[in-house]
Amino acid sequence: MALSGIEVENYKSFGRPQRIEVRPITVLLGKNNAGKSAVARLPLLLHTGICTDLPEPLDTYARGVDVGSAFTDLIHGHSPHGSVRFGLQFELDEIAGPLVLDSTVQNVVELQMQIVSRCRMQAGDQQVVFEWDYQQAPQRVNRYSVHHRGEIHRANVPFAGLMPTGEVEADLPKTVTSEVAALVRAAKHSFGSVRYLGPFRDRPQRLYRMPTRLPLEIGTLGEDAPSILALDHARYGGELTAIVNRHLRQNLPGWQLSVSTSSGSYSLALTPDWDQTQSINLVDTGTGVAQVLPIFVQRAIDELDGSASTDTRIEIVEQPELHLHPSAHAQLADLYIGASRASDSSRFVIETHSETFILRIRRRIAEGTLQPSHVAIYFVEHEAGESTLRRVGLDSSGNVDYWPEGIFSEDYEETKALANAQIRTAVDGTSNH
Amino acid sequence: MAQVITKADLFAVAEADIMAVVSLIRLFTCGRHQWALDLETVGAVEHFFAEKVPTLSGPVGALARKAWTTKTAWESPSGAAPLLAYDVSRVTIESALADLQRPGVLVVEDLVSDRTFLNAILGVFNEVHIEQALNQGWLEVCHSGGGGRVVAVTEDEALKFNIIARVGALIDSDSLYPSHHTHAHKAAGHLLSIGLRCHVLTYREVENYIPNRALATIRPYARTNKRLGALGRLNREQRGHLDIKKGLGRLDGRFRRSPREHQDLYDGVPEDVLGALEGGFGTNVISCLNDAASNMTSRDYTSLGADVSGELAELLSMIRSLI
Repeated sequence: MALSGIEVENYKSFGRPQRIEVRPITVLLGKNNAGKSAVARLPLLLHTGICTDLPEPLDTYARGVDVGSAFTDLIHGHSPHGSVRFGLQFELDEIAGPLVLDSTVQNVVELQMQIVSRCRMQAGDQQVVFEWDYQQAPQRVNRYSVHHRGEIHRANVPFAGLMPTGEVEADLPKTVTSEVAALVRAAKHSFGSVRYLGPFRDRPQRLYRMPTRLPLEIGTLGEDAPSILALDHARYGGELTAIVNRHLRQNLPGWQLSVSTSSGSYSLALTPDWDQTQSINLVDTGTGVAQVLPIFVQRAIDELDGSASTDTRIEIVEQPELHLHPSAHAQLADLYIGASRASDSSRFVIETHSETFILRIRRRIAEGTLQPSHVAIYFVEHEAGESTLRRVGLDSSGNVDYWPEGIFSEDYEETKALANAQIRTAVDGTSNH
Repeated sequence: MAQVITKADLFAVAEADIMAVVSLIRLFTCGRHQWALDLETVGAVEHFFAEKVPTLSGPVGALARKAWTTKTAWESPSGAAPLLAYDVSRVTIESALADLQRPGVLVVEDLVSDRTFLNAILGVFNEVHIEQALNQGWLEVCHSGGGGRVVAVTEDEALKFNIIARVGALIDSDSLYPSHHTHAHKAAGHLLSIGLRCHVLTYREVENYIPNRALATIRPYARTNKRLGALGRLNREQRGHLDIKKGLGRLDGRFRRSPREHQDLYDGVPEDVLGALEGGFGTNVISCLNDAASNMTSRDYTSLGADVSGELAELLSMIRSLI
């Protein structure tokens, strides 16, 4: 059971309907400001509309991740009277066919609020459509026409996020409410949890205060990764740190991460294999190590946690390659390939600018260790104020069926210009100096 | 641009042809043509330059490796423009070099109007390669003086090439209704059959590809607005085969000449619309693009017909292959 597709219309820079297939590994590429992050953060935003008991359709500032300062920031063209349509598709085990949820959120300036103006829920031959009766507002703001099996019922329908609450309503037949309740439960269960690691990571500190409580997650900036390592060291004998070091060694051979504690505080350091008396505080090491540490910690947590392989989850990572040398990007791709294989119900949404990351995925497909269907690569293109998503198909040899001209050939263009200048100097004896 | 395929044997040329190889490489480094080579040839290139021209060994070796990597990793069947493939061997290097150093040629019916049309779509579709080629003299636009002369002029230009002629033509269809097969289609068939390239516009002529946003800048505005209003009430085929310059016109001062020559294309169009389109936007209507093009986007062309952007992309792709 997992989210398998997302559709948006009139969302941010995407005016026209766009659909994204969510695969175990979904990669988003594109130039700066094309709309990649708006797509990458969609699961985070939609989670606030599915796994919620609150009446507001969405929260644009979930976990401190700013998707928009107001709902109008989500509307294409920022129209105050506009609406945004969100479609979600889940693959279910229990019910034949996918579960589809399609909700349109209308901004209502007069009420200073957003209303789900249309909601369609479908699984197999079960379908319920809710259409908001705006003429009843503001007195009866929850008044809807409910279309179910050829009949139309008018009822007050309280919503929680993008869906009806699923609670029994006195003015709706019991068959309707029970079907809706089942669909709502299935959607919440299928969505599972969302993790997010953003493109800005916390700077390492020379000394940290020892936490008393184990953080549940690494945090959106990776800010809690050090505390998790410290408590693992203090309470669990450094089992987690050992896994982190296994990942680290592939990127930085000959070094290992160590945790030192003293009277209520701790520090993180790198120690060389050849002289274990040396200890270089993480603050004094290369930036890349500190930036990639949250990724290694998260992977180590999942390796140790037996339930991680069965939990339904979407993990969003923006620019995992941040501050890393290109040679390490391929290792990150392998890390996510491995993690996605370890769990059938995990989905990784990765926004990247890394050529090497994509090449490693293609290589693994060509080598036969990764199925093309396991991966979806999308290119976010932007032209004249309008963004579009284009799927880049992969065959079993790792070939792409489409590639935008000029993307990842930048170094070739630079090499051409360099060679041109060098040849001009060598042959003609001229240069621009 | 041509895709120049070099095999390892090229880099076993006689001493006399060494500078020809260097000149060929310079066509790649300046961005004029695209270098296609396999891994074996990369080794041959490195060996050749290390031995014969050691001062260029570093830059050319690096370029060969990057060219191979980029072609292998990031070229896809649908993403790359269909380039004109040009095999260069040890035997053909001299003739091939002369061809590749010669500008490609696009033959048009009227240099002024067709160049204005081209400038507009180059800007809108961000065709930097073609703009650069025109500025550098790698591509020339050649005036034929009318649809009847396009074939002769195109053939004449092609004779100037030794092996593969990078010559193509852009022709107005002059079609008066969608299925109208004209002299333009016959000419195109001939040019394609002799290995040259050609694009026949789907609509009547380049003026039918002027978006309304550009037409709206034509003075006097009152008359233009009236005609634009009527134009907006035509369907895309009716607009596409209308004489934008002269309008539907009159035969003898009383009757419109158009309905029969367009067959049933304008059947059912209200009289007030036909009346408003008796006159056109003027014989120099194309010049409105000079100022308006900078404000246009691809959406302006999509508004002319769902397939128009696709057709213009094909045209630009053909022109790119001539560079």
